[in-house]
Amino acid sequence: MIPLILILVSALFVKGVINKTRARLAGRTGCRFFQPLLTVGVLLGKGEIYSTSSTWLTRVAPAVCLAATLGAALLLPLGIFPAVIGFDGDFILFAYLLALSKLALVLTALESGSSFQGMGSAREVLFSMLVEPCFFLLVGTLAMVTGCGSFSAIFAKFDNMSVNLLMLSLILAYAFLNVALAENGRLPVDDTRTHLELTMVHEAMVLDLSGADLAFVQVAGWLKLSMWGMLVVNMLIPARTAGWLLVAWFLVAMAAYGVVIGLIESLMARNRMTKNATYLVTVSAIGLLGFAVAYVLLTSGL
Amino acid sequence: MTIGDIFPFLTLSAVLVFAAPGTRFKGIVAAVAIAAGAVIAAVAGVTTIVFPEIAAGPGAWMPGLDALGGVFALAVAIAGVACSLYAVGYMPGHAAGKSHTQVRLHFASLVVLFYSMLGVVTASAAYGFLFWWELMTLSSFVLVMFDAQRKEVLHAAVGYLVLMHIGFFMLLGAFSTSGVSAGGCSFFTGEGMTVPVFLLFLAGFGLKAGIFPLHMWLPVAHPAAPSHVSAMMSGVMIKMGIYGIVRAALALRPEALFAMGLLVFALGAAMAVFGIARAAVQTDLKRLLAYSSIENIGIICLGIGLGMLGRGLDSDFIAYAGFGGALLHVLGHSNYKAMLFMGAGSVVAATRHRDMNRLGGLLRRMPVTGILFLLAAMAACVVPGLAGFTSEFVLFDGLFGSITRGELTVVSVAGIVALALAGGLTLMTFTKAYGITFLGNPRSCAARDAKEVGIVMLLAQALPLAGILVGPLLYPYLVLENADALFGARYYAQPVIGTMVTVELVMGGVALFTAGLVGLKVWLNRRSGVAAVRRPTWGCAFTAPNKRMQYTASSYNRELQTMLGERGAERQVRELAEEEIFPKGHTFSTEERDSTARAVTRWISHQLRRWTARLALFQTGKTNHYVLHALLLLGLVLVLTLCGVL
Repeated sequence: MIPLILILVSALFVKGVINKTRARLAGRTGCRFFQPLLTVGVLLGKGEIYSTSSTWLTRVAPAVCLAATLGAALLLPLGIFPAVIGFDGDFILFAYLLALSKLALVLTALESGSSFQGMGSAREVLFSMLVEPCFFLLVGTLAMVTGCGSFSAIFAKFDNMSVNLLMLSLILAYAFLNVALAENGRLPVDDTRTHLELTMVHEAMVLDLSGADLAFVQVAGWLKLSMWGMLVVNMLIPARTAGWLLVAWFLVAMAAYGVVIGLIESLMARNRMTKNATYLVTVSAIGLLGFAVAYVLLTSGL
Repeated sequence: MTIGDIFPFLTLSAVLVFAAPGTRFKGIVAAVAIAAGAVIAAVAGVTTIVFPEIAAGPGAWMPGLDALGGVFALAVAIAGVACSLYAVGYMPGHAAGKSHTQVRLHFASLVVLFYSMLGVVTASAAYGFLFWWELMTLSSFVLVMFDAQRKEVLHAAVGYLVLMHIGFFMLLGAFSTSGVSAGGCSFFTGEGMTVPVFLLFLAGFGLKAGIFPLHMWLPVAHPAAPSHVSAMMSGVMIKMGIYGIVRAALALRPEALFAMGLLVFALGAAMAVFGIARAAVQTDLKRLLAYSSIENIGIICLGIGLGMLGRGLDSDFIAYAGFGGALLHVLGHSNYKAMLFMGAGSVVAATRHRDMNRLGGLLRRMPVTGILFLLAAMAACVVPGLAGFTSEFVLFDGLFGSITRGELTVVSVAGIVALALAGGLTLMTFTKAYGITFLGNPRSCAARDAKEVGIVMLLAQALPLAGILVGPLLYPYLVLENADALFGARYYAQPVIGTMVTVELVMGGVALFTAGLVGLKVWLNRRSGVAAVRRPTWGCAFTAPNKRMQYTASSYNRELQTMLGERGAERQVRELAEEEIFPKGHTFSTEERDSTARAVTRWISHQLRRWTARLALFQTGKTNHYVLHALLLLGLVLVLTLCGVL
């Protein structure tokens, strides 16, 4: 239960950390730390505007998007704290619950009948297709190193304090971070700040959503951000930490995750759309590198 | 007289169709004939799997059926009932302008196709098997060429017939060389099949299953056939090829298992990615579904290959997950693909268009078809809690399990990457198939004026839904709990069915939470006194948006096409009208070309032409030469007779 609570808590502040980092680096004060929360509060109080081409699907799909994301959050552990639900192969359910949430969002976008939404969803499915193998490669590497088949068992057993695995954990954390950036529509794959540009991916999909529907999608976005952050953090926090120390580690690492994303967004330019595919294949190659390193370590007798 | 005695003769009920008047009534007769067989097949299939000792007794409903055949019989039964019921509603509109004989022949072939598939899975002797196999090919050929007045249909049907007979002769050769033609119940069951025979079986059955690169008939024949026929063929008939491959894999001699397993595994992985990447760039709805079938056959082959590798390594877990996942995928795919093809058929019936660039907005106009298609597409997209997830879960679990056990690590990782890539592309394919066809605004007048199809067709489409919804719990029970009867691998340490119950609970929670969120939205709206309003889609400050400006099926995968390069997604542009002095209206159409299939057919036909050209040496066109040939032949016969050879 603890990892779920931590995900929910961190979902509330990671976005704020990113915004503040970005503002500071640009020399601005920036908006309030909890501004995203206030925005969602305002959205929840507003009514929805539905497109004339929409049906019941647009009314239900944003809720499905949020519910499926939350369902996936149930499966994530933190170090030795087990997940709410865990079984052998639970990461398969995790991946496909996130796919369901994406499916719901893409169909909502296509229902508006606008070319912007169509463009956004076409790009979204393409990019998520390209990072999907990377996620499975990374989990496969972890399963090979630990000999376990579920998230909880893997992260409880993964020992990044030994010299060999420290290197591996850094590679995997870097790859997970890249998957996180792609999956959450952050730079350098997608830019959350550009509205009304032909260059956006995720933001183009939600153009026609409003009111509570938009709030649901945004909350799902926060959840996803901190869920992928949880995977990165799991790679980095020292093994065998327990109790309040682990919680403290988590909060620090999560804040660092937000700062890193903020740094990337301030210091890097967004890729050209046509270069994104190559970039994402490179991310998968990093995953493959992680696998190769682990394989060599294992076969050479760790 | 028991049911088992009369069952082989139920095929003859096809004759009844000839006695019935009117298209609809003929359809009903065919549907009843199929439903009778389907009930027997489903009951016999399930009892054979669950209670083998009862089913093997003298009162067996389907003599010759074993547990493995039972799995396929169940799939055939579900798809058969749904497709024949669908034909009752579909054919009266589709068969307008056809003679009674054509309609009679069509329905009779439908009945024959259904019973010949059951014949294939019950046949215990080689020649019986080949008889049913050939009957299946011929009846499906008649079904495909129902619209033979259209040139492309005729081409597709004849091409199908030719390829199936190449496959047939491969099977004939394989059966006669392997020595299993001795008959009796030992057909296929003995161990010790040699590698060349196995390869011959793989190619022969692979032609039916549409194994890459022998898939060239599949994306052509499925769009050409009427939709219930495509549903039947794609849902279950191509699975008969899989049935043969599984049988051959189980009979292969143990020392060859590893190498052949690796071959089937690699073929499956390549085919899964190839099939779905081709599917993602299609604009024709039924062609898209046909290519997606190639992907699913690839996933099944990947499973079979994994199972063979497991048997080769003597690892019960890997064999169990591989074959188990493959058989689960056979059951799940037969349900949702039949549903998808029937949904596509309803779209065609309502709009007369298969080209997705002319469709759109059909969910508003055909709500029930839209919901059923969505559910089937979700199953195809491996949404947890539906039948498509179970099989992929078992396969993934097998691959990850072999990694954690330290066996087959590199092979498994390759399989995982292929499956993950195929999964991502599936999401792309089916969001496109559904989003462009059913959502947005109509892109043509036909789509704008579409009306919901009749209740019979909707009912038929809804039938396999039972399998999709109950499947996640029922199919693992049938396949995995009885794994040793099916393919002789026993592994009960992790009951998948328990995991599936957990998954169902999670999905139930997700559904409840969704309902809660929708309720919350309604409550919030009521509390703040606002009502949802309807406005045109925001055009991003562009004031004259137009329905033609929507994303189309072609633009949706533009970037993927660029990535695959021009070779992967070649587009042929045809100018149908020629240049004239006073030009009339020009029409223009694009069509997708499958360069792989073309390369294979072109290579083979090139070789064939080269060798026949050498034989043309004897065709001189001079009568005296031909007389000489006859004389030489007579002399040869004389010499051979004198030597005692003849």
